[in-house]
Amino acid sequence: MRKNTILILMLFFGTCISAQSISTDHEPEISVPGLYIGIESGIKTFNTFEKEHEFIRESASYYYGYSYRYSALSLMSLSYYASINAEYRMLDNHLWVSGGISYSTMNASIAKYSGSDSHPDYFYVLLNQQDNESYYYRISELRFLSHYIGIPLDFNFAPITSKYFQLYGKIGMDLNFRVNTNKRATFYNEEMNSYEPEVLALFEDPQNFYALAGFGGGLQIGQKNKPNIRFEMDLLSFVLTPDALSLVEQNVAFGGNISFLIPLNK
Amino acid sequence: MKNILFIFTISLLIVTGCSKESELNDSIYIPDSDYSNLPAYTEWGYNTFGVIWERKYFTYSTDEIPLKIIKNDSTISLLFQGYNPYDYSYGNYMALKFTFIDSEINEYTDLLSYNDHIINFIDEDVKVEMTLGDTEELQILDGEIHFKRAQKLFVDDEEEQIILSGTFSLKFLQNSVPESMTNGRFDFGINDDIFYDLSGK
Repeated sequence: MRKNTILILMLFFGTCISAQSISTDHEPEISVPGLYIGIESGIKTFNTFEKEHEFIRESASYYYGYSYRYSALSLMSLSYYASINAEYRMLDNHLWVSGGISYSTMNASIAKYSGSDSHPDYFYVLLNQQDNESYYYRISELRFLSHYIGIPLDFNFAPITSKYFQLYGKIGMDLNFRVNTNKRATFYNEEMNSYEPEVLALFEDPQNFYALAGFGGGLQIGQKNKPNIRFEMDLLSFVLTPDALSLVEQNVAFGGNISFLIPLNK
Repeated sequence: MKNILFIFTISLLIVTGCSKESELNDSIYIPDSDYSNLPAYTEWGYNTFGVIWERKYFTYSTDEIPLKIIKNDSTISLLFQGYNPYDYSYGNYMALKFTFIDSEINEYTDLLSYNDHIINFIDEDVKVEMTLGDTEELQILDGEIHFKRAQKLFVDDEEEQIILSGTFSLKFLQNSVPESMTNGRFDFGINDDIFYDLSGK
């Protein structure tokens, strides 16, 4: 709610500045500076779903009236990223095309936080089943932290520009290649920690390729031939590789980032 | 001294009051891929059962303990408790009770011997009763219960319960009309809490 309010205020303020600029600026447009280089850092949070793992007991799932499935498992996936980008501005500074290289982490977890005294904060993982014996272990949390090197590609269109502000929308794509994954299992009973390698071995590694495509918008502050700072919202990104994470599934992401750009050819 | 005792008592009450139940006793409903009103056949101890009775479904209820095992001298009874599919009102209890001779079962862990074990309902020493308001013994035409798997469940390396999973079906006469129950399946986690030894009582 607060983010929405800030965004609306930013849009309103930017529109006002733009209107002022149109009515008062009689100077000719400054020539397009062309190439910028920048750094960007941001966060994305994902809509995360339970993946079917046949060795996790469905103790975390309840059906109310058989028609509604509620998972008491706490599923999370979150990405932090930083990138170095080159950006080329064209069409009288209305179209910006950028690409670069990024480093990102994807933090995915399955946990159980029931918040209830009547249900425990763990779930059961079946580690071994042979003949007439089955072995469950109580797990409080499974967490996979994956590291990626990626290529971000963005097309930004800035319909509203003024001397000091530009409001813009963007479409973009992120192509990510996994470098490695750190896995961790937290046992409810710490004496069972020795089984961590066996439990983690039940899960496959995340896939090596991971991609997103989506759109967003933001506000750029700064004059056209000077360093710029940019505040951007990733309004909706679609996960093109929903099975890429071995722990959970994802479909869409939301997020925001901040970037700083400097012109190369003044 | 009284204050210390009071604080100790209160602390003990808080600690015990916050103890968490094991979810192994809950019923977990995983729908069957073909009959969504029936629980899928599972072997996880989900504490469910279900059967198609003519064109209705007799299934476990969250209000009742789905299975009770009653030992009575030389017999064992399995009491399946659930919904009456012909009555949608609150508290619409229905039960099926399968009783057969078995003097080898003295405690719940002995049920492991039922692994891949079939009991035919048309045997003379098998009795099937249905409770639907009143309790009546069914005149069985055909049917069997197949204990497909009996397994011992360990949680964090400690023995916790027995899981008994299987299928059942039966044909019977009710008010001289033949009826059938088909596609029955069950998956129970069994511990001493639901095992009743009434021998000699």
